This record gives sequence, structure tokens and C-alpha cells, in this order.
Amino acid sequence: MTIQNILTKYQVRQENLLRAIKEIQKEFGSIDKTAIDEIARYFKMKPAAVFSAASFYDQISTKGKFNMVVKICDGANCNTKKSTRVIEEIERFFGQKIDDSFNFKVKIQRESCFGFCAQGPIMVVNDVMYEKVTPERVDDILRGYTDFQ
Amino acid sequence: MEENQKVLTKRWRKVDPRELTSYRKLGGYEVLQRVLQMKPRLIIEEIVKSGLQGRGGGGFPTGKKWESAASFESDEKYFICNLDESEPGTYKDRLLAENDPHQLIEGIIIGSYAVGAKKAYIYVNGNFHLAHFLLERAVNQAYEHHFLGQGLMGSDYSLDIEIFVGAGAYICGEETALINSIEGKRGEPRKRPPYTSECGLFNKPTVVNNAETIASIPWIMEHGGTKYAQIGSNGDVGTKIFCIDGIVKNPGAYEVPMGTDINDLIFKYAGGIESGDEPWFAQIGGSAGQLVPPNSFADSPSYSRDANVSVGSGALLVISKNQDIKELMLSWMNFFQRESCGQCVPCREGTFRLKMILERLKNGNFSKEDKDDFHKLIWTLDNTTFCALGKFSAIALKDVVKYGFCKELE
Ligand SMILES: Cc1cc2nc3c(=O)[nH]c(=O)nc-3n(C[C@H](O)[C@H](O)[C@H](O)COP(=O)(O)O)c2cc1C
Ligand code: SF4
Ligand code: FES
Repeated sequence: MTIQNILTKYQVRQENLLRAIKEIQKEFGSIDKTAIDEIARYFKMKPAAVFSAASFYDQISTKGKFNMVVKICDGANCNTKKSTRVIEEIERFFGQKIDDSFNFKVKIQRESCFGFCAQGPIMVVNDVMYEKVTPERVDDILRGYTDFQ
Repeated sequence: MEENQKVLTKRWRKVDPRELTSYRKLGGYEVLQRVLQMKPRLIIEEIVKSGLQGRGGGGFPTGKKWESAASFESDEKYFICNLDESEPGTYKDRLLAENDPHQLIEGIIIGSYAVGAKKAYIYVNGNFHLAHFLLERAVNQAYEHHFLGQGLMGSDYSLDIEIFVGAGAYICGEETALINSIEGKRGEPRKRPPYTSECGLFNKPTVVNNAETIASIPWIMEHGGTKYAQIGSNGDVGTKIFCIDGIVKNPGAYEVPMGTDINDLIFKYAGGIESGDEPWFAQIGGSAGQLVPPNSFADSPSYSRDANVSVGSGALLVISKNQDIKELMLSWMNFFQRESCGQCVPCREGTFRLKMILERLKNGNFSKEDKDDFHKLIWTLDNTTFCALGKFSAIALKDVVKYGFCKELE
């Protein structure tokens, strides 16, 4: 699948821009400079306008592809269920601070609320959701991913 | 009116959300046939009569909103179902889509027909994968059964519904930001006026309604506005889903008549307080919501302007006496700082600086200047921001000060 293949699935209409960007991201992991240029040409927009729109949204990465993305909910409900302790455990596991943008392999990110509060704390690893996560379970869950790499 | 009247959740766990035929067996799409023979004006009158108020937080009268959009002449109009739901602690719209998606679609068709829209959008939160899947399936099935498309149900009315999936931004729940997002722009709020009902999506008259508002519509059309207006008490009408969480025995979503007080929400619906714990206060309406101390638990959340407790999104979080308030304040501000769209300075800078101050407060190096700045920043956020998000970010912190929940801030 090339970027062009994906783009041609969409009619050139404003409301298809974000959809196309998301599908390209799904296929390629992020939206890089080349992708921005191709998208802009296809939708007859300025590259800067495409970048400006794409970079606005949390679920779109214009900063490169990570091997592993760990999202942890820090919404108020999960917070009262001790998500801070879970965050500390994740930081310890990777030896890396949350929201630290220097590691290009792993990204640990605070999220706002996944809408599954009653089952919190919620952790999402590469799009797989884990419910009622305790600090004790963090090591087990994350090891399932890192042991393969 | 029976006490446990269900409007929104009556088919939950009875209907198969994957099958239109199952919805029909339980009476779904029956009222639509009748509605399509009514004059749009009469439908709107019925909604006005019901007293239904928007469930997206503001409580704007739905009938009035539809009247306004219907009054503008235009060859194109749009109807948008707001399912971007991302207020922390709130997941009622997700459950409505997951448990009974056709109820939403029937509501959207009625609303679109009433205001004269030929195109409708459902804007779904990008984290709601199951809800998205089920809505997509429901829309496809509705086309197959001619409840959507050209001349639907043998009438001369045509409607298309498109699903638009968000990409993780709380501010896109604000209706003008949502519209920008569909238009392929940054999800930043627009200046008003012009108002959405006159100049909304693609600059055409547009109605944006919350999913829970829309889910109430088929019931109102089936049973009549007067009957709906009889549900509820203390000046508020209809039913509402509350998402109750925190130190309660049975956290979850409950449909209750409006006018139900906080004590009943906690004890009658959510099973009471967990043994060995004690409530310090409750927060109503998510992170943008006010704090309520236990001696006000006899109040009922209301949409009325001068009510003691506002409904907001309908989230109820019961906080334990053992909660570290500094940690919770930081979580609130982290949220608003992350979700500020950055368009205006007071909110972009204010939430960021408050977050730094609250971090210092938590880490024990909070200074006298920090305290002064804290109060100044709260005032700025409360009074000077472009959209309501800035104001939201100050609500709970103001209440922390008001009730003396954090002595360093006094
Ligand atoms: C920051 C902010 C976030 C909002 N988020 C939502 C939301 O997630 N869902 C929603 O329905 N309304 C949300 N609203 C309210 C919408 O702007 C709009 O008023 C609502 O969708 C109208 O529907 P209603 O009249 O049925 O309540 C938000 C408003 C603001 C200011
Ligand atoms: S108040 Fe905040 S969210 Fe609203 S426009 Fe300003 S920066 Fe954006
Ligand atoms: S607050 Fe964590 S899922 Fe809602």
C-alpha cells in the first residue's frame, strides 16, 4: 500500500482529510514530511495547512514512529484509583519519565479519559486496553511486549 | 408516573445492538413512520412541549434550538450527533451507542426531518471502537431497510448519515470546534455569533445535539411531549443517565428521573459508600464540574441557572476522606493543560502555569508568590478566555478554595 493508493480511496472533500490522514498513519505509523506533501497535493491544500491540522490531534503523530506506545489514563476517576502509582511503576520499568520525548523507541503518555472509568485505572499498550491496572500488574503486562523485541 | 420510568435504557440488554431486526421487534422505527407524515413544525412543537434540555452539559432547550435552525431558509442544512464525549468520568453516550445504536439513528432521522437537514453526521470519539463499529453497522442496515437514503420509508424525504471519527481532542466536543474538525481544520472553537443554527457546518444552518438528547427523541414522539414533561421533579424534566464512580459500592451508569438528589444517586442507585470509607465531597459534571460537600447531598443536580448544583455532563465522582487533594488538583489541571487548544493566551498559558504551580504544591516547594499567582490565574481563566474550556478549568479549583479543602491555598 502506498500513500497514493490510500489517498485515491477518498474523494477530494474537506471532511475526508482527517480520515485519509488517519489511514495513512495506521499504515505507516506516523505522518512524515513526504506524507504531508502528498496529502497536500491530493487535497489541493498548502502543506502548512495539512501539517497544522494533523499536528493538532493527539491520535496523530507527526513526530515519527515508536515501537511501543504506552498510554495511561490520568483522568480524575483513574487518578482517585491510584493511577499515579501505576505511572511510577511504568517509569521504573522503562527507566524513562512519562511524556519524555527523547526516546524514539518507547513513548509513555498521559491520557485524558478513555471513557471506561468504572474499570480504571486504564492502560493502553499499542491499542490494547488493560483494565483495573495495579502497580503490581505493570511488570507482567509490559514484559509481554518487550520480551518479543 | 411510575418511579422507574426508562426512556433511554429501556431496551438495554434486551435488544441485540448488532441487528436492526431485533430493534424492530421491540417496537423500534414504529414512531418514525408516523413522524414522517407529520408537518416538521408539529414535531418541533412536541419537543418544545416536552421541555427537553440538551444533555451535552449546557441544558439548552432542544425545541428552541430546532426552531431556530428550521427558521433559516437554505438548500443545505446539517444535523450533527455529538458523540465525542470526553469529559473525565462520563461515558453515557458510549453506552447508548453500544447498547442501542438504532435508537440514536431513529432520533437523528426525526431531528433531521424536523429541521430540514438532508445530511447528518455522527461525530464519534476516536477511543470508542466498539461504539463506532456498531454505529457503522447500524447505519448500513438502516440503508438496507430504507430507513435512510432516497425517499426513505416510502416518503419523499431523503437523508444520508455519515460517521466521522475524532482523533483525541476534548475540545472537539465543543460544537464549533467539532465543526472545524469535520471540515478538516484544527479543532479550535469559532467566534460566535454567527451561531451554529444559522451558520454552522460548511457555513450552513446546523443543529448539534448531544447523543443522549437525541436518544430521548423517539420516546418523546411515541408518548408525547406532555408525558415526558411529567417525568422528573424540582423543575427539571425527563430522565438522565448518571455515571457514578469513586468510593461507591456499585460504580456504573444509571438512568434516573431528573430531580433525583445526590443522596439517592449514591445510596439508592450506586449501592452506598464502600464499607470503611467516608465521603469528603462529590464532584458533579466531570473535571469541569463543581464540588459538593456531604451536607449538600440532599440537593439535586439541575439545569436551572440558579440551582445549587448543576448537572454538567452527568458524572458523579464521590471522593474519599483519604484522597490526596493536591494530587487530584494536579490531575484536573494536567487534563485542562493537555486539552487546551492553545488558540488564546489566557487559557494556553494559564493552564500551563497553574499546572507548574500545582506540581510545586504537591512536591512541597510552593511559595508565597505561587499562592498569589494561583489566585490571579484562577480569576483570569474564569473571566477572560475565548471559549468555555478556560472557565471550566477554574471551577473545581475555586471550590477547593471556597470549602477550604487545601490549607496552603488559604
Ligand atoms: C470544552 C467543551 C467540551 C464539550 N464537550 C462536549 C461533548 O463531549 N459532548 C457534547 O455533547 N457536548 C459537549 N460540549 C457542548 C457542545 O458545545 C454543545 O453545546 C452540545 O453538543 C449541544 O448539544 P445539546 O444541546 O443536546 O446539549 C462541550 C462544550 C465545551 C465548551
Ligand atoms: S479557552 Fe482554551 S480551549 Fe478555548 S479557545 Fe482558548 S485556548 Fe482554546
Ligand atoms: S478517567 Fe480514566 S478512563 Fe475515565
